Amino acid sequence: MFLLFFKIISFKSMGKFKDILSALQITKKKDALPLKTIFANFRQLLEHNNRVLELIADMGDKLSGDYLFDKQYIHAICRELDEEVYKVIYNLNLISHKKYLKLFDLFEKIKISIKAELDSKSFIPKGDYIIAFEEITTDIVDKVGGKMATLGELKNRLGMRVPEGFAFSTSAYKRFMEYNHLDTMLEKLSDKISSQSQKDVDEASDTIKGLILKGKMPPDLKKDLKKHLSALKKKNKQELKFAVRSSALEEDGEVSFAGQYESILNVPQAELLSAYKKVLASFFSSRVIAYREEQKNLPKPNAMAVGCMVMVPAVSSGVLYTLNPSTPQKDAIVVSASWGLGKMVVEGEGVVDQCELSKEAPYKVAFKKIAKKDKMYESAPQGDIRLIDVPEEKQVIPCVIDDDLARLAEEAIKIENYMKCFQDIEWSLDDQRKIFILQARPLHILLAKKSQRPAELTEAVKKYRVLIHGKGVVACRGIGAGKVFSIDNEKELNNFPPGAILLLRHTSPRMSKLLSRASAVVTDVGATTGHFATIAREFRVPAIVDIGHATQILKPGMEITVDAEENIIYEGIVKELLKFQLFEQSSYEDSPEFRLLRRILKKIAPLHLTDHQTKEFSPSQCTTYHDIIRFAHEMAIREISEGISSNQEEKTYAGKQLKLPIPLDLLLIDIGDGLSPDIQGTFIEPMKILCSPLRILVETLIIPGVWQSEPVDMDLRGFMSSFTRTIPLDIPGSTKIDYNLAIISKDYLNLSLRLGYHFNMVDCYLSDNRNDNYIYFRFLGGVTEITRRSRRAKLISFILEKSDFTVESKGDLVIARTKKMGRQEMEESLRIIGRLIGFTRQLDVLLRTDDSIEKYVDLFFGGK
Amino acid sequence: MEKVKNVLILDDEPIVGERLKPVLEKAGFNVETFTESQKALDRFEEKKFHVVITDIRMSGPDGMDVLSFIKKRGLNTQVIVITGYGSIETVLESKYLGAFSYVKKPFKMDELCKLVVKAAEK
Repeated sequence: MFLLFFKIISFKSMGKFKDILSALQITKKKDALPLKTIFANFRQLLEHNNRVLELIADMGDKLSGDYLFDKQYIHAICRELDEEVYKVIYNLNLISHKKYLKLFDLFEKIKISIKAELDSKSFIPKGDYIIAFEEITTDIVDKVGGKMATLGELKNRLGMRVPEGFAFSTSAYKRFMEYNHLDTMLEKLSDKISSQSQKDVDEASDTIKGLILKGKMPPDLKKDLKKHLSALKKKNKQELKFAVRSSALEEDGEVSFAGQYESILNVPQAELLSAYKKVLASFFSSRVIAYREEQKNLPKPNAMAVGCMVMVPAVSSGVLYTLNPSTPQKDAIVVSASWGLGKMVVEGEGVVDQCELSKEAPYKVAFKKIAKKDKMYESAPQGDIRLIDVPEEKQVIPCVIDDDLARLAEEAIKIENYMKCFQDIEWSLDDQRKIFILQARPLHILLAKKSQRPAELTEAVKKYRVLIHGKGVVACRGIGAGKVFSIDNEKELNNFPPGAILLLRHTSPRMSKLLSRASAVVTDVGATTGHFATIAREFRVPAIVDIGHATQILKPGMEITVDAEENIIYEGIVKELLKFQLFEQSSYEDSPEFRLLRRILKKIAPLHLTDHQTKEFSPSQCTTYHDIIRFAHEMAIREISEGISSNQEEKTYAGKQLKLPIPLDLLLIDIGDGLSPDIQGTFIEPMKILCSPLRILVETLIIPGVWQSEPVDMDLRGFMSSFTRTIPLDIPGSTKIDYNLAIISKDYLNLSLRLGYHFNMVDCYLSDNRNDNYIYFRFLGGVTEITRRSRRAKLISFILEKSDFTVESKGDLVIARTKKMGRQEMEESLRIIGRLIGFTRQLDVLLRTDDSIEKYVDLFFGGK
Repeated sequence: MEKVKNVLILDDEPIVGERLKPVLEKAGFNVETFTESQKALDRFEEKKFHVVITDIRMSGPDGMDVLSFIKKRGLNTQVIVITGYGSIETVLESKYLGAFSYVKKPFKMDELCKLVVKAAEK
């Protein structure tokens, strides 16, 4: 049974007079759906919306915790996500008479890009053929190989000086192979390749190599190359020469192909393509084929990337190890150097300078052996390199002065700290004494799988005083040590000394700039999800957050060691731990599944739509799934609040404004006996509400002290930020009002309540039949920045659990359910929710200090 | 000195063994990983394992086959079954066949580790 509604929507300010007039018109639209259907669709939309939020929170959870998940999990959850997001859009269009079909296109676009990521395991990832170093990070190691990915990482994340250049991706390799029908040839030869007979392997190798060298470059690949070359030329203005180096997928990981692939130096632009082919061909030399066959457990596809680096005009070059392989127990750096190009050192043939440096600043030289360097490699002007004589006067002097050695050491340690393992680094110095890093990879000699903490280590750390143990949460694993440096406000950001321990009260996006310089991070308040923790993990900075009282225990200037593996903070620098970490294998964060999930989540979780009032809130701004559902939810509420035009039978329904003594705008839409029939006008008093769930909620909210129209705390900053985003009072001239929407019937309530930026949802059925009763409460996000949000989520979960709700909480999302209770208990639970809503409204302001959660729980239960 | 217990991990997804192995080694176990069920079954002939962690769905002999093989042999080996495809039937079947426990993927590593410790005590 429908009630007839008039479309009278009342506004508080006179500026809306025009709207009032237009609202009085009753417009007709053909094919309007009956009201009950619209609300059914709305409820469906909300259900799917909630499900998507849950799935997103779940994925984030898997990335932040110590979960083991496999590709199957990723596939399954993406499938479900696709379905649910689709249904949200579908329902929105049902409600709005297909006003938002454009969302489907946006959805498809995102869906396709996710699918591309998911499919990339089975074949080589699609993508650009050639990728400039500026675009390379370890996230795309599947496309550019280990060597190039590391270089890109050093350049783009650590800001190190690396030669300019680009990489031929594995897609380029695939294209080349397919274009020349070499993929089918490989198939044909596969038996010979895995044969035991050396002769067979050699024959197969020669055939493939020959075919590659004779192969033609696909025109699109050539074009791409030209584009990148001209971009580089613009920057360099001179004839470019390149070092063309292999960058295989397995290199620089656990398996080393060191020296087995070709590296071609000083290649003129015109010969780049032929050098590329030569390097590709080396992938199929007998030695390499044999090696691959041996290592059957390599899961990745057979593919290779090739890097092209602009030649450094090297005065001297060499290799640096951040550990001396012959005396690994000593902390030392060893450097081998020669004049000219590094080939002399890398190949290990000629006579070179060798020295050992201390691993602690100022990196003094411990011992030096200067050789009589009579030969050196240099770049020949027309291309290629040549071996020439070293002038007499330079033969017995060091080719690197002590100052430069120290600078090299400093760079190397930065790399070691970042990569968390001992490093084998190739470097060059140009005539301006600028250091170029040419290659960095784990020092293979020492990759012993010491994943178990040796008893000696556990004994050794006992002598250090433990400052904090087991408090807080590990946001990023690892071990870091240094002097504590505490930052309270942004002005101090520039004072932060590199390598210090960052001590913060809260995690904050503004502070994440410092992460690349910190050796570890410790905070009083924070979460493992959220921006700050994500950046900490990107930079691999050991982080322990949410300790509570770290700022009281740790004082600036103190030297401490942060063990973010065992969650212990020690007084002093625990050298044993630092060294142990360097022996550890790379962690799960490097696994392809982890990287894949992270890449996919980037297309799903970030929210770009931030202000629903401005122009920004349009379908075209939706770039992630989260954007889409947020947009859809907002639009759905808007559509319903503004009333859908009539169909033939009924006039448009109207929302009724609930008149309350607190500043809460609530629009009611009654779909069946929710309101007393004797209402006059559009304002409703609470006692006229027949909908029992709503009445109870409202009664609770208007109890003095629950909703609280004034903030308690004098923290102006927090208050101001919450002020701009809470339910806005009518601003003259604004064309839309934010409705909080309640859809009601006698026993049913669906409430979308805007607290801060997100909607919170209460869906409740309350009747005399206990089996039908339920409450569903969803809380997401809030007003201020991320740390406070997660803290609040924890607080809310805790309170709800104590009140006998079943609570699921992930990151910022809290979902509480209760079911099948009698009327009395249901009413009690609703009152708790009502109080909780009022309570959380002001929580942002209150939760600025380090007070523990318990205090607020007590406040709440104490009947605030 | 307590004898070190041996654990075998069998899952056709390499990531499972790769990630679980260091965690369990840290807890003091001796760990071997396999991605092919037949190879794992062959290994049982050679070495005694105290705990076996196996996936259910694999090509060749699947987790249930491995479980029944172990139980039929009367080996004093506890089997923990892990899988991404959970259904009430598989839970029941694995319990019926004598599995020590059943864990759904994705799972928390330390929780599985605790389970292994418990199983090893039997």
